[in-house]
Amino acid sequence: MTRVSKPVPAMMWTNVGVALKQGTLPGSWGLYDRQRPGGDVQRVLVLEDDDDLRTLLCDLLVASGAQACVSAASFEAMVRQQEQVLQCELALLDVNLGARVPSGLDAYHWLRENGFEGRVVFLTGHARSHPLVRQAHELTQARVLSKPVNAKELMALVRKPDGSHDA
Amino acid sequence: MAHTTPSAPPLRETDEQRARAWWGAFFATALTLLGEVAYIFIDWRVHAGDLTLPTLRALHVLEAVGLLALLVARRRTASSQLSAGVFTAVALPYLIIFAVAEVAMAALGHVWLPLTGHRLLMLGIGMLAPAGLKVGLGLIGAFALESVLLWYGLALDERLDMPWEPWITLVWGGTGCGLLVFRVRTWRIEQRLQKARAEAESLERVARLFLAMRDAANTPLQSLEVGVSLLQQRSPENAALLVTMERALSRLRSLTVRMAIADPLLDWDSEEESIDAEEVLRNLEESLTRELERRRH
Repeated sequence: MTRVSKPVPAMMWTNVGVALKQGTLPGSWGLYDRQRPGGDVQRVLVLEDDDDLRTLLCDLLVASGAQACVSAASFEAMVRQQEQVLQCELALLDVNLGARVPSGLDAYHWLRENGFEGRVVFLTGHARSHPLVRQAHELTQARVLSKPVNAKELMALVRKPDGSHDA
Repeated sequence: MAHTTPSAPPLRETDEQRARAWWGAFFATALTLLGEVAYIFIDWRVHAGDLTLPTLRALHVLEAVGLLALLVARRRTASSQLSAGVFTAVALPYLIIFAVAEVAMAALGHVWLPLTGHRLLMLGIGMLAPAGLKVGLGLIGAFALESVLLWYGLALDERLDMPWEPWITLVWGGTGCGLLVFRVRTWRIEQRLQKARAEAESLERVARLFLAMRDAANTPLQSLEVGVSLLQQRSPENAALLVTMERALSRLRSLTVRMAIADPLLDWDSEEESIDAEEVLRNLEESLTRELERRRH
């Protein structure tokens, strides 16, 4: 399969996920239409304000076995995709989504309040001592990974220890 | 490889040190001016017909006026040494004036309290001498010595029934020294605290800079990390090239990890405090600009 040459807009990933689920993915989205060992696995949510990283994370997670990737650049964008977001089994949340905007912590609370039962992993490039990051560390139902996270560790989030993918 | 240890730069005289020394010299000179003007008239009346003391005091007043003018002209740039010099210059003439006054008073035969000027001046030096023991202790010592010499030289111990003199004057001198030592000690403690505070602030600024740079670098680094991993999967034929990229990434990663050493130094004021690297860097740039402006003036 050939990779799509043009950059993939962030919001399009939602459509990719839905299309994959419904089997209606257009031909130009071949990258995500391939057969992977282990078959379809889980849907993941990536909340990250950096466009490049968000795209790459989705790319990596899908390549590593995720069924689909729902991505959002902000809390508001995530809320707008409520239905798809709440179907995810894994949420990868950036703690800091920019100055004076809701943080990854707010997204976590929103997810839990709306019945999200999947795993939550925070990504942070910031000081462990910052109150927001400290709060993230105090959450028992979430993991906190400090950027830059080893790619293998990220891939392992959607893989079982035996090398197969999560069902 | 030879390592060079950077030597600590000499401590710069702070604005506060200069200001304190300036105010001490200014007060002493102004008080001298007022006191000596008053004594011109007092001596005029007490030593009628003898112009020695009024003349000496008038000369002292002129000197004080000149020194005050110098201090005012250099109020922003006067160093502590200049202020100490002014203080010494305004205090030393008292040695001559007091000696002449005591001799004149002894000759008059009036009832008077000898060595009063010495006592007051020694206390004044203790309270106003620019911070530094040498000048203050030297001046107090000189006035204490002169008081003893005058007491015995003028045979005041035989003429006056004051068995406590000149010892009580020496006690005043000791009190002046005590005051001076207390002031210098307090000043040094303040100086150490100020230095510690400045160092802490400087370290926190460095820590914030480290943090901001690390924060700004971590997301692109993460993109590179993920990108390289994807390339390793998709372009295995470029394995050798990707290994070198991986090594470069690893070096950058260890650099950002080392920057994390400054984290514990940070004292976050509130949960709302921005962790936006751009904003932190912008604030630091503004602080540096302000500091540069301050140093230019």
